[in-house]
Amino acid sequence: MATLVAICGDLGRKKLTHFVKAALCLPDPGTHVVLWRSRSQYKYTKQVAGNEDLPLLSQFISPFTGCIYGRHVTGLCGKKQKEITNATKRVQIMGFMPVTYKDPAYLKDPKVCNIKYRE
Amino acid sequence: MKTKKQPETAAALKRTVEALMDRGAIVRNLENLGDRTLPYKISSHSQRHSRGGYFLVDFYAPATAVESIMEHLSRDIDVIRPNVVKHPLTQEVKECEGIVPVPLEEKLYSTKKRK
Repeated sequence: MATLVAICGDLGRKKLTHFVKAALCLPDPGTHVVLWRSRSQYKYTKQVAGNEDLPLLSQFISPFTGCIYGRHVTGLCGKKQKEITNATKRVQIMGFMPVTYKDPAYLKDPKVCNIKYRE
Repeated sequence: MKTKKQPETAAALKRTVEALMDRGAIVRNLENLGDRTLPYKISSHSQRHSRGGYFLVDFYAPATAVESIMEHLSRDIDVIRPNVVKHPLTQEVKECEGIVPVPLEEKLYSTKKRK
């Protein structure tokens, strides 16, 4: 099922958003999701649907523990963060996505969140 | 969406669809999402499952029928995890304006009237 993506304009650091724009094509050919980010503004018009959005939802969980990143990490606005959390929980309970870790197929996805791990 | 196991899936599917239709549901579409290892081992009906087949049934049904459908599916041994979800395409897509910048200076002092 094709989902509509409306990309809203961006302000702020052009270099960063340029890099973000280049890197954000997901490996899954069905869903083309480009998330724009500008400082703390996250304009993102898309309905978070059910089972087909697994690569999108896996971008917002930790690869080590599988916990969903908070708002200060993802930079999403209130509504979308809530939608993503609810969708992730739903998909995990239904048995499509693992809970304690990130599905290894999606480990190489471009990073959307602000998280920094100690090396 | 349900997850099933065992080679008698055709019979189980038929049973399920018939049960759905008995409760007044009009089945639009039945998709097979493939057989795969479950993301985590699921125990149901005193059995531990690690592989399952995923099936997606599109149907129209009155809202009152959901409870009886779920009850029936939970009794079926072949169904590992029954789920009924609203169809995502029927929900309205609202425009999200992003994070609206709030003027924090106004929020610094409370504007309540103090005696």
